[in-house]
Amino acid sequence: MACHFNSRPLVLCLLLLILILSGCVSLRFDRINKGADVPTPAVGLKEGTATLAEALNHYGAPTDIIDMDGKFALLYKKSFYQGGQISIGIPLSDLLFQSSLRVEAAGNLLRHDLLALFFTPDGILVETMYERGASQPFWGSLWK
Amino acid sequence: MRYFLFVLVVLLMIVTGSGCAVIGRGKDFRPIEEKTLTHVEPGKTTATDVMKLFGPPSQIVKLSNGNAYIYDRSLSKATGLWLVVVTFANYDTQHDRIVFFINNQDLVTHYGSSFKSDTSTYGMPF
Repeated sequence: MACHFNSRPLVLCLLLLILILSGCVSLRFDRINKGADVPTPAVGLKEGTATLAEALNHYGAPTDIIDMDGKFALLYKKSFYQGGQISIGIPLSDLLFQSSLRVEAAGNLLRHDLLALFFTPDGILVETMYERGASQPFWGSLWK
Repeated sequence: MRYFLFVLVVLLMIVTGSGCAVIGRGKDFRPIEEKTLTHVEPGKTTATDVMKLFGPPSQIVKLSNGNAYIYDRSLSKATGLWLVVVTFANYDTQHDRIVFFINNQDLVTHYGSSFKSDTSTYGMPF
């Protein structure tokens, strides 16, 4: 059985709707990446024996150096930001009502990869802390 | 009907594709070069030598047995795409960094470097 459904009015309406809503609906997606990938802790750099020179040779220059009243720490950090926003606004104040309709939803998530190396004043590695945040899922992390 | 569809597709492309794209590049410049590090010798090079080679540091951290001089520069690349209802923005910042550990006798004891600014990229947020 042949179908005589005429899709032209529907498609034209869709096109018109896109044109009308183009000033009222907006979507925005952002991503900000700051810093290089943070290396995972090296197996060869053992706490208690590895030196500052070995750590600098392996990891390169840190993002921050922190003095801890004698001890000090090297921090390696990467920041990863993702954001999204949807905005729907229908200006009605000039036409029908005194107020306009506007709905907006936004979600922003900043995650970090961190490696902290703690040293004695003599430059011996005493502790290594590592956290990989950038690989965490966006939605799971946002709603946790 | 085919002509109508063709016109419709072209119209849709014009409507949804109209917008603009932007790329940007920002540099926080310091004249620090990787090859200059060959002139640095731990145990011999002094803090004064370091500053002669690289200029004043971006940051100085006081440590219990000396200081750390940090030299930093960065390169940022931004990409933006504005379509009718959708905006995409992407920023990528990478750093070149050198740190010198200087003891109380003003001698360089250790140094480390990372030159990553070349890895900064343009792109989309997906």
